[in-house]
Amino acid sequence: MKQFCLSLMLLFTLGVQAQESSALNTQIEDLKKQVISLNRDLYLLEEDLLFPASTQVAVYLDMDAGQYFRIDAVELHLDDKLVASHLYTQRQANALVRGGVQKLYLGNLARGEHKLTAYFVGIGPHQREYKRAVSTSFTKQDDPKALQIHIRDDASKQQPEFLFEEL
Amino acid sequence: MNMRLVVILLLAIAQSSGGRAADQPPGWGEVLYEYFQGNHFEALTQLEIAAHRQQLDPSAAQPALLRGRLSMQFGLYSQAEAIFKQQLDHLDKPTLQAAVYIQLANLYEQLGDLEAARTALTNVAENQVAGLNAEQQDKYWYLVASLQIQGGTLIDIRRFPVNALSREYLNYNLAMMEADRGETQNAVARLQSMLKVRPNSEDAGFFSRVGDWVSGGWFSADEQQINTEEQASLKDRQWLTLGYLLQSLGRHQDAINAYQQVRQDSVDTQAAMLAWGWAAAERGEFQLALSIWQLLAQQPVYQHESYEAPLAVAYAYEKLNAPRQALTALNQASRQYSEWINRLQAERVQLYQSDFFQPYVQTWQQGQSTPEDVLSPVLMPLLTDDLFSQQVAQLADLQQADQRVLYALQQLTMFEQLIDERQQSAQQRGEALAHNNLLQTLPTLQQQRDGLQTQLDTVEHQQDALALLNDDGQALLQRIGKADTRLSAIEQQMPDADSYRARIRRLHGILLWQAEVDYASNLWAGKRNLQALDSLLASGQTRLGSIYQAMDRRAHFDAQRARITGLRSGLLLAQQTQQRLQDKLLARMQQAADVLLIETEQQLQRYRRQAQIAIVRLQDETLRKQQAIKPEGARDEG
Repeated sequence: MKQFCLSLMLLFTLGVQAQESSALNTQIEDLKKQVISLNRDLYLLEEDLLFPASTQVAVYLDMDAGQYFRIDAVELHLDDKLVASHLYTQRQANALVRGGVQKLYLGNLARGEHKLTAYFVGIGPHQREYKRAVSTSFTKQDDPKALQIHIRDDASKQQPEFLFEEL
Repeated sequence: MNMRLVVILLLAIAQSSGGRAADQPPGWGEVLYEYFQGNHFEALTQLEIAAHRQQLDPSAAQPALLRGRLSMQFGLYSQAEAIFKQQLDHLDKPTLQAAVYIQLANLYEQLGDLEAARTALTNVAENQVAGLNAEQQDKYWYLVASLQIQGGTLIDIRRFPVNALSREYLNYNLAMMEADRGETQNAVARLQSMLKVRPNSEDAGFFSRVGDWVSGGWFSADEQQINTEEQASLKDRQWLTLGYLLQSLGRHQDAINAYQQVRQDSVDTQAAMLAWGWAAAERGEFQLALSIWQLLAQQPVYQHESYEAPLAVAYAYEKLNAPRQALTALNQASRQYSEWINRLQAERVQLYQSDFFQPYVQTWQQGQSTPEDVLSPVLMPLLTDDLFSQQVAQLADLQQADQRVLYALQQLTMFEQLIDERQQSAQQRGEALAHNNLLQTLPTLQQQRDGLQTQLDTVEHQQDALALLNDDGQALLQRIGKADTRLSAIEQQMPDADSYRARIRRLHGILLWQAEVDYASNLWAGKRNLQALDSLLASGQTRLGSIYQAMDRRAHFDAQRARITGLRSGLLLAQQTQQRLQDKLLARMQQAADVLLIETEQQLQRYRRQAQIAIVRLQDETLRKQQAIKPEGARDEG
């Protein structure tokens, strides 16, 4: 009888512990969700405050390449002024090749005509060092401006090609 | 392993929905950019932002499934489960459904809900498995086999690739199951068969590089290193288990051979050394056993088996008929156990300090192995405990969340300062505008322009060419008018006034003629200038509108401040929750560690008692021997 009571108590204790553990896990999950949601709000607030729509300009980069170009670094110049530069880790370069899009630059710009130049460094065809500069002009109006640089493999020329697109 | 399945599933979905991520809005691509780097928190945040901006199709399966997988990887299991279940109602492609069911089963297995995992897998038909890619099939069969083994069912292991690590795990679990059932011979045969297969890191099957779809490979060199280490550790455990089983069958030499295969720097080394000593002792090779146990006794303790070493050394001495050395070893052992017990008691006090586990959590976050100065060797057995590992992971997550909250609070302070500065400069601008009366300038200019338009219309209506003369022409016209007025005043006194008047008329005629000639072009130029003035005024009007808008925006400062206040209270609440949960979690970890320390202390006390009893026994035996010798000596003297 005594053993039975002890076993019952042990089972009860284990049950309570399992319930407590489950409740704690749920609370931790809730906190994580809350932190993600707060981080999103912070990000949106930051963008609204620091980069208002009337002056906002964003530059994105994506790659559909891999055979003729492997990115190592990029420098971005706006109106001949360096505004962003990035050295890529292997993971970042892989993430780009797999379909990721990198927000290369987010900043403010006055209305009017502007020139954007991107300098790319990497490994080109035949595993040789490859450097390339590409430029485009665009007009900034009162709405947010977004440009995307696409890097593609050009099989006909066996070279990478760099294209600008206004989004 | 999970990550790879997820990537494959994602790619399958991407292919089925047609189109690269780069063809989607940048928001989606940004999610993928973070996801493919393994930044789950950032990817989830980007996903939330993209959804908030309505950049993602809410009915599309791809973002929802990615959210589910990211949630799972970030430890949001209930959210992941809900998403997968919801998607299963919408997906109509059988292979995709099968892949999601496998994912769901994987989730349940991780949560330890084996029944739910089995139920999820029953929804995957064999013919659907054939439609999945090799990695997904591998995962499916691994889950099926693993669940069967955990349910106590023997399975056929042959469908797994020969060198796959998953196969080795399953096989090992099968051997353990056979050993538990008392089928020791079968377990030995299975382990021996496994250990003939040499690890091959270049073709490690389940953990090998993913196929051709990634030119650079998903795993980095570091990860390859981890997998190779994992394989080697598994081999060590297999050799140790084989040794134990062989020893239980009385095959001591075979057991020794197995123990010798365990690496010197393995987590199983000390257990293997102790067992090796016992196997040698069983064979009567006490000298060998002694040297191994002495070596073990000199090493810092990483496994609880090692606590036995000092006693074992004394035992070996005794068996080698060296009672003095045995007594010395036992005295040393007793002192050693007392020292360890004191250290454990000190450890129990330190355990309840809030930062006790901090260095370990940090090395865990960095993915490093745990050196002895980070976590006390006596607590090392906790590292192999699933619940403790889960708690450490949760503690690390909570601490990261805390860091993010702290960073966010700093950002908010900075934003508040920014808004203050902007509000101040906006106020100054407003005051400057009011002072300079700049805002009234444009209406005045507009009035002037309207006057010019009226003049031009009148001129055009009256065909008054002279009105359109340029500045020189107007000056000449004025001079002619003046000359005419003066002539009229002195006409009576001038004898040749007529000729002067004729000259003036002629000059006026010439001027009029020139004006008539230039009338059309002058009128056109006037209209053109007016038009240019119009566009300038329109542009000015637009700018003025922007200025008014900007001035209106001052009212948004309050809205922005309200957002900051809301966010700050949310963050402070999260901070409090985090602290409360961290305290709870720490209390549980401390409790688990304390239980281990108490058990270890009890074990050490038992060893110390054994040592003390053995000391008494040996002293007693020595005394009896001396007493047995003395009478003989006395007889000799007599």
